[in-house]
Amino acid sequence: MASGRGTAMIAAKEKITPGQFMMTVIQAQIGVGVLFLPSSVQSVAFNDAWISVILSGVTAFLLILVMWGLARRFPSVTFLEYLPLLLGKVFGKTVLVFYAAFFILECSLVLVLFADVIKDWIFTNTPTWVILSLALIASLYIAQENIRTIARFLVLTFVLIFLLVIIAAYAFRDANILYILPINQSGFPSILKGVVKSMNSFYGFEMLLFCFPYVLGEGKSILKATVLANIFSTLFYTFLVFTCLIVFSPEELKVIPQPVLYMVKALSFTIIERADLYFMTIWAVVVVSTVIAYLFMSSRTISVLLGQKKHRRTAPYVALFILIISLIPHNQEMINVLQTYVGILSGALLVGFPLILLGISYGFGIKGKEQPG
Amino acid sequence: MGFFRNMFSNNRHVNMSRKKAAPAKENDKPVSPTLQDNFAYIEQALFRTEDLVRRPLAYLSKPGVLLYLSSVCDSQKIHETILKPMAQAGADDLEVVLTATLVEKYSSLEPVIDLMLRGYAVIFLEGRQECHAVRAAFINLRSVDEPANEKSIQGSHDGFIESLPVNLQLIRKQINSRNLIVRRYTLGNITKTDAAIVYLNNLANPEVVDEIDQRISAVNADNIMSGYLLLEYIENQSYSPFPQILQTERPDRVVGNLLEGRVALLTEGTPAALVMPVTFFAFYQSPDDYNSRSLAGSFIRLLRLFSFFIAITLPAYYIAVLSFHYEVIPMELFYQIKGSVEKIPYPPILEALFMELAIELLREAGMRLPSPIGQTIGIVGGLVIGDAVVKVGLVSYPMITVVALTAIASFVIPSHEMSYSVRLLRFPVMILASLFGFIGIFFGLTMIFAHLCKLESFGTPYFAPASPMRLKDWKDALIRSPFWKLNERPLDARPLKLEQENGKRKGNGDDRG
Amino acid sequence: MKKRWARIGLRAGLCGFFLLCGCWDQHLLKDERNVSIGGMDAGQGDKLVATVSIRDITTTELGSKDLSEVHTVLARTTQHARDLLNDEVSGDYSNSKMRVLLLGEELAKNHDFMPHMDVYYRDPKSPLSARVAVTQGTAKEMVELRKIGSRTIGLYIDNLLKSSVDTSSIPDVNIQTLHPLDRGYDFAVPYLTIKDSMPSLLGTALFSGTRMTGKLNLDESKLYLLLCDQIGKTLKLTLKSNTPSAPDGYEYVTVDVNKAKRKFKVTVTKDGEIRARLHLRLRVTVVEDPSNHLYKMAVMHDLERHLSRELTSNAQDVVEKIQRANHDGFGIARRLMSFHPKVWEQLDWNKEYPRIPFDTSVSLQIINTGITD
Repeated sequence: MASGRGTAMIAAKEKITPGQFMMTVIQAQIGVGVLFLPSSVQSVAFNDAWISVILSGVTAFLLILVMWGLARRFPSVTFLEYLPLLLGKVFGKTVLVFYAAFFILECSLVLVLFADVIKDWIFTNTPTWVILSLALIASLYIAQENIRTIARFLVLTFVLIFLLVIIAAYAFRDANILYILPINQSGFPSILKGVVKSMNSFYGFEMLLFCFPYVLGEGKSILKATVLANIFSTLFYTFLVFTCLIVFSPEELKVIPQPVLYMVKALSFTIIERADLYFMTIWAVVVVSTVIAYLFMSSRTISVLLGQKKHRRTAPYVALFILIISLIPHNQEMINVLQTYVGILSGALLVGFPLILLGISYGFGIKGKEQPG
Repeated sequence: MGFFRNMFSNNRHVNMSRKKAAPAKENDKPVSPTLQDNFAYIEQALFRTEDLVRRPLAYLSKPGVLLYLSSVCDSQKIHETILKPMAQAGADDLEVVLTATLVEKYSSLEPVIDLMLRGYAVIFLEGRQECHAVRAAFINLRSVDEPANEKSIQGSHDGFIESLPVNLQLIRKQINSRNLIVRRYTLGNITKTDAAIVYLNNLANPEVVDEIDQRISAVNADNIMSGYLLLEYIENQSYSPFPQILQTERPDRVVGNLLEGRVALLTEGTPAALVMPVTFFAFYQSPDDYNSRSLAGSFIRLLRLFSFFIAITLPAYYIAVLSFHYEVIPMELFYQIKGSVEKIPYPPILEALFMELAIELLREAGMRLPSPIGQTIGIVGGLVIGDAVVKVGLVSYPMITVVALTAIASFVIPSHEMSYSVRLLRFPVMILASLFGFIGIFFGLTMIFAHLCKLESFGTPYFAPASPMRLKDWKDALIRSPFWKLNERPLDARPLKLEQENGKRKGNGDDRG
Repeated sequence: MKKRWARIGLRAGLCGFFLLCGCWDQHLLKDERNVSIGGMDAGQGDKLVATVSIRDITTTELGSKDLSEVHTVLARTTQHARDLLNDEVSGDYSNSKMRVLLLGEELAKNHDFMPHMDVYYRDPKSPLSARVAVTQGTAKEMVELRKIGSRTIGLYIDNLLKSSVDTSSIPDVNIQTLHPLDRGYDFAVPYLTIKDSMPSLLGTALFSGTRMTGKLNLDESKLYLLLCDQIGKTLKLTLKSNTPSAPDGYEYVTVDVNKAKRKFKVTVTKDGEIRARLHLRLRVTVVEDPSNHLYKMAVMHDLERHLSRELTSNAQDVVEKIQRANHDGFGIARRLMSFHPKVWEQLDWNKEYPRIPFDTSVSLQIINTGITD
């Protein structure tokens, strides 16, 4: 077996609980979307953007079901190991290359958007590579470790998401519920377009493919954890989009790319002013969590491709590679191109492929061994 | 790179396979029937050291000789327990005659010499092929006073001293359980220091005990004079800024930890116990939390944890605000601060480094000097320098406030080790803040917390119960719930038995239930 | 071993590099000159007269001393004005802590001031929570007052506006809430004047779109805020009492509004006529009423009826006034957009609005009379 680990049992030291897994998925899902989602969905679905977000959550739920169905048939190995089983060695590896490319590009996209915001809002003159390497060094430090340590860290930073909610909830002071009326003004097609736009923020549940054998407990409890995570992310995103929709008029949302930050910028409390700076700092850590998840997935995939047992060695090189890719897009147009690439890849690899694989697995009756014990 | 390595390492044999040097087997000399032979051999073995005393005596009219090292033996004891009974003796058996607690018979000389070094007096009798070693060590103990650096307001005022037996006794006194086990070690190839690990057999996890046992046994060094030296040999990561073994001078703290299933290591000559495995939060607990009521204890404990954040981030936050994000200061405060810093020639990071350095110097100076002068230094430093530095215009008033608050916050921590690490950590965070503002601080904190998540102490996660999250254990980590609520021991030490009390109570109408 | 040293070397090098690079976006507080109040006036042609007061404070152990330094420039745009000011001022000019933005009456009435605001919305450091007010005459005169007593002009006006917002004399607006992109309602801002070389409040300036078209005095302004459902912390109304022949000093009654409930409904009849119904229910405490003794229920009810009538007629006047000013402060347009999008699309709003029939009424209930009856 290419990976070298084969059907070797996963040590008890690397197992995580379903609760930890849930938070890992949430952290992988919630990332740059916090700032970008509202206006990007609003640009196509207008004041029904929140419906699009909920529908995306439902779509994500269906995809989770597919992935879970696939992972359940191979309870003791990860996606990287059963893919060659299903597709044959050569083709399986080729597909893995695409997956690796997707994870790397997605990670780069997250970082590019991150650097974009940071440059727009605080560090206008700081070179992009400095901001990016800062984020990557912090992510690499934890992404090199095994899944257990990563999960522990992500659970710890999970609290910060609630801080974001609290700060954003303050903006309800200026809210005007009339802005979202009338419901379904834009029509179903544009809501669907909004779904496509917002899907990118929901990716992250593919951690299921990588973590399934590491999670303690029954297959059902793993599904439950993933679904709960997805529900949380959906609610969180819907909350943000909804808040932005009722605070800003549709015309304003068109010209404000990061409405959440804009919304909290004018808030002033007794002891602090300019809540956006705090919001952005906390958001930076949330983004780092996402980067950790993608860095982990991409370096695992690449380790398997290179026949390495552990991803600790490969991770720094992958990080360097991601850094270089993230430095290429230097204007909005190139970012859009990158976004399109990632969109196509994700459509194929996270929606299409799992379905095909599930079909193959059932059609040819290929199954993994039961987990011993 | 090998060149650099040699430059930085003073261990010439780092790459050689470390063999445990077996002690050279000396040819064991049996006790000779002639007194002169024995004396000559011992004198030779001790290289004619001049504190070797030879006292001739007669026992039942047979000539004999008493040998001892005057530097380690108590002459009063020799008189009382050896010479007096021997002079009045009627029986033949010397072991019956001597009134000392420890009398051992030996037929060879080598072990006897080792014992002499530890305070034994040796009696040789003409014509006998054996000798008697009698314990007459000079014991000079200080009293078990309250440790100066770990004072408590309420609770016991005992403290460990430099004697292993006394320290063990202090622990045994509180745990009268037959499950309390002591394992002895002799450490250091030259120093031969006595050490012991103590644990409760029915609580401590055998894996942890084995791990500790292995690490202690693996130490191969000439000098293990104190527990502090041993600490670096057995801890997980010496390059981590966080201490992974708790040092304490308080028996009650050790007892409390033993009852949670942890292991304590005591060393002769060290007035402290090393407790392991411990978590980050153990360093923020103090016996006072348990000796006061739970609300007060919880408040104090939360205050201490809060002080951790203040000590690490406050100067960094101030620097970040002043050099990047001054927009966050509310209006009126803004102009006050602006007025103060306007005339300062240096950027805030230099101001802060200067002030932090000054405080560290003052602290070190105050600690080294005898206490009356130490206090003077505090006053001179705090008031005179603090005031002058502002008047000269080197540092602004707000910066002094910030630095002073930070210093106070770092002194709140009950453990010195943790206090050091917090003081160290604040510098990188400050530098990051001066480079990247808030983002820098948060990346610094992210790295610190990531490190805490990674760190383990003897196989248990160091940052438990925050990571891995176990909310159940928070009631004795972040706060201190009433004792009847603490039904289970914390999981981090992996004790064999989780339940530690049963919250049932008698009577009714209270808030317990 | 070698690798380890290589790694450590790399890390040290990286740290050193960061340190050497310095701080790109650092702007030290000590080097900045902070504007506390800024004023915009219409200049010749399309130009803009910008006046700013920089507040300096010197802190010694004896206390602090305030100074106000005023600069005026004639500029093409706001950003141009900033650049010119930066050339004029010693130190780095910064307006990120500006508290108040004043608009000259001439600029507000006869020019569109929104182009000048653009930089405030675009710059991440801009003070979005700064209050906005219109001054009678020019803003320049106001800023040039420099100091009132021991307070600098910026602080003085900020406090003046703040306390008046708390007592609901003027609307609470800042730069953020002005952002006028298709919100479906018009904004109103405080209206200041100089009286005895002191700034003082005149009332509220009403805007239609981005131009000032009318003004309300302080009494009307309070009622306007009540009708808009935007009351601050307290609101007290002093009204004529129901004893017509009362001697001097006995003819007024003051009530403190405890609770105001507004019912506002916009209906569109079948033949496309728009109607607005505005009903206000107040629960008040009588805080001053020298003429009546309210221990008798009948007297109290009489007073209630009288005050309701008086308030209704005052409210009708206010509504008429704002309709004349073509100022849609109630957000009728927003309601039409949300509830009757089809009607809205066919409307010429500026023509339609002044013609909308309003059905305005106020009812009042006394619930408390202080510690005497």
